[in-house]
Amino acid sequence: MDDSYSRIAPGHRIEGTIRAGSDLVLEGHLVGRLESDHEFVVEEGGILEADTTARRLVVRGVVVGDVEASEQVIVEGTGRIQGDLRTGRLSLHPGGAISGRVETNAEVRPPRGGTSRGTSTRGRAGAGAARTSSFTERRAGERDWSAPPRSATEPPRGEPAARPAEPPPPREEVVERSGEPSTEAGSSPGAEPSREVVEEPAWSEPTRPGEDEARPPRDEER
Amino acid sequence: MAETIIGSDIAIDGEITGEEPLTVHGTVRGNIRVRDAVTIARSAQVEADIESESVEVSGYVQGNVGASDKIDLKSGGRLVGDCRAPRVLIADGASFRGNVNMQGQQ
Repeated sequence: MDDSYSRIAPGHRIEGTIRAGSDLVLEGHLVGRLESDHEFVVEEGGILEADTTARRLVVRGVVVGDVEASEQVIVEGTGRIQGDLRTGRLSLHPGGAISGRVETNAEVRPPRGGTSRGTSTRGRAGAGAARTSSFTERRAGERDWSAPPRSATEPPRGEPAARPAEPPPPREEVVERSGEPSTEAGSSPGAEPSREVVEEPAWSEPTRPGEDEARPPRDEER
Repeated sequence: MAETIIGSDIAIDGEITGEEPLTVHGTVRGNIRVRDAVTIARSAQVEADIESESVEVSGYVQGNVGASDKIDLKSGGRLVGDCRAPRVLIADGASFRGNVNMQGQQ
């Protein structure tokens, strides 16, 4: 067997810093800091509570913490990210959710993963975990992904998105979505209950103009 | 197959806890507390205290190892630290430096 194959099984918890020089699959619970120069997959049921630097991140479970990906982030239908996201390319599939600042086409230095010692960290390990408690508590009950209320982070529909006082970096946006079909879909009955954000048409299905018309108006303001 | 496998290109600084078996090919520094079984494979470099039901060492371990069933130090394995288990096996060709306690005081 290839001894570089790696997975963290359900029920296992790792607390600390992980540096991965090969692909790694998380089905358990990882708390702290993660640096991978390969692909990191958070499977459904897996929880990553860490500030993360990776080349590719695939999310089918839960990620709490800031994420930087030099290449690509894929949030699948069951995936959730709570934290700021900087990535080269982003694919957010229907049902998936991101709560936090998002920047695509970001210049992210490829992480130095692997087993090399002394990799510099940003000294922020645990930053993701620190703000996690309420998030995981909520998760422990019912998977109430509709919280927080939309009004907390989004302006009323039909108005320009409120921006912080300082000018936001180019292409930065705040995405807050619920996995459930929200009430806004009621205004356009034919619209899909969830939408897909595809930032790089070159590698994935381009956004079709016809879909835009069926979407809620706030999509067009971006 | 609910097993955690830490591959040879993975380095962990911290604590691993859980129930299902754990196999380490890579680097772990800190603590390992896994209920069922811990296997330290040939390529592994572990600087950690290990607690489990049974622990098999074919790689390098620096730290104290405690097992409620047995510790199996394989040929080629290297262990620096104390062993505490009702059954301790040390194969010909293994290297070991430390104390052995087979009194069963868990």
